[in-house]
Amino acid sequence: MSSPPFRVNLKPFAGPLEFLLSLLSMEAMTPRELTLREMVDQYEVYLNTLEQPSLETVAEELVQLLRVAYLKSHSLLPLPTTLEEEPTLALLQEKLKELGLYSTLGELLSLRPLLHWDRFPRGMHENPPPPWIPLIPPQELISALRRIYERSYLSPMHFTLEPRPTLEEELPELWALLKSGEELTLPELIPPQLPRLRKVFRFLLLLELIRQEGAELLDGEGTFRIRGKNLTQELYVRMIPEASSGHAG
Amino acid sequence: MVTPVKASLEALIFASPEPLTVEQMKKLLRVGEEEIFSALQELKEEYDNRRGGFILEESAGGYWFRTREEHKHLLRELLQVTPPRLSRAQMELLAIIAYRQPISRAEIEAIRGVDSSATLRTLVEAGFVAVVGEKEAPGKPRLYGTTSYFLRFFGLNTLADLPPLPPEWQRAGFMMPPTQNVEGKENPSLFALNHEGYKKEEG
Repeated sequence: MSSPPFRVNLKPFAGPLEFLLSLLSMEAMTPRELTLREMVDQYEVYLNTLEQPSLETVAEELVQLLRVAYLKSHSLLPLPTTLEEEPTLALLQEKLKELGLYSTLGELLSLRPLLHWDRFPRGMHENPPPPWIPLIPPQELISALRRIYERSYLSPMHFTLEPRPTLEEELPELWALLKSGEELTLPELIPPQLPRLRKVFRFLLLLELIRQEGAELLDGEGTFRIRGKNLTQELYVRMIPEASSGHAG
Repeated sequence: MVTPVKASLEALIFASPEPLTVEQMKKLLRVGEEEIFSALQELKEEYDNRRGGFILEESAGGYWFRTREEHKHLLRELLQVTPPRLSRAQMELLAIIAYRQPISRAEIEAIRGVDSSATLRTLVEAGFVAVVGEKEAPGKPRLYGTTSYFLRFFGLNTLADLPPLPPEWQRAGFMMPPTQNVEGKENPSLFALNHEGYKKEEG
């Protein structure tokens, strides 16, 4: 007689840290078993496996890393002495389970047939899909970019392995590529050999250029290309006010 | 047989840009609810049996025509639509709001453990989520809930059609958002709520 079949339900994990979080929430392992170094290494290894990591993926994985680090830090704290201090690791594990539930429900929801994609009503053009890229005023985004790179934790003092990229260095190169009017693939715009920080910085700049309709995204067969369009000196000047002439031509 | 009510209903639903509610039908046709439901049922069966390109669907508390899913590839090609894609973080946040609404940003962040303001803003701008009231608490934080667009987008009639919670979570006290089909309201998913801390809208 053959052995009875058994069923394994394996949830798809977006990365090693999500799997780790899942193990922690199931209490299949404790944060004490992890080292911070391993977690950071896993983060880096995972990012390196991605061919074209989007900013979104990088950010989501960073959030997972921080969640694991948060649990780890709690496991290192001294045991509570009063009842009020009690909810620490156990509570965090409960919260992780709850978050896992909403993650699963979100996945189930996204599997439903979607409007304007699987199901089309009448008058679609009168009721277009909502904007998918958040509308951030350009100046707000540019000043946010500047603030990020002026923060101490990204200063050259604390980031000695990679030189800190600047708008003045990055934009002219990107600008020249886009102004050529040719269709460019993402690796052409963000060469893989660039240091990591410059890649992220370029990606942010590119997003801003696309968002302002200075560049056009062309949907391809499993890839997308970018073509410079309507690039104006005004846009360039807005991005680098102090270097307003000489590059935009 | 096509009765005058059924023909009128068909015309109204056909021309309506959004799901037409039974309340609107009653007001326009000046006939009883029973007659409307009976005509709607007949229409629905006719379109189902016909196996044509579109069907009559109940969505977001109303009725509208929409295409069958087997034609989606053709329609995507014709209309050149860009696939709407919500990130995992956005779907996670949307699920929290959908199941726990009305909910404040602080409560969302307590569940997620991370700052959610940017993701929340994206969902509000995209029309899935809206401010539905203020919490009776110091500082009167805003409460967020899902919109009728959320229901239409995911093909839900009411919040009761959300994917069910696993039984073990229900046993642990987690509940599906209470909902009742409030016909004729702008947003059935909002007005059907009656949680603690949220004043149900009257009238």
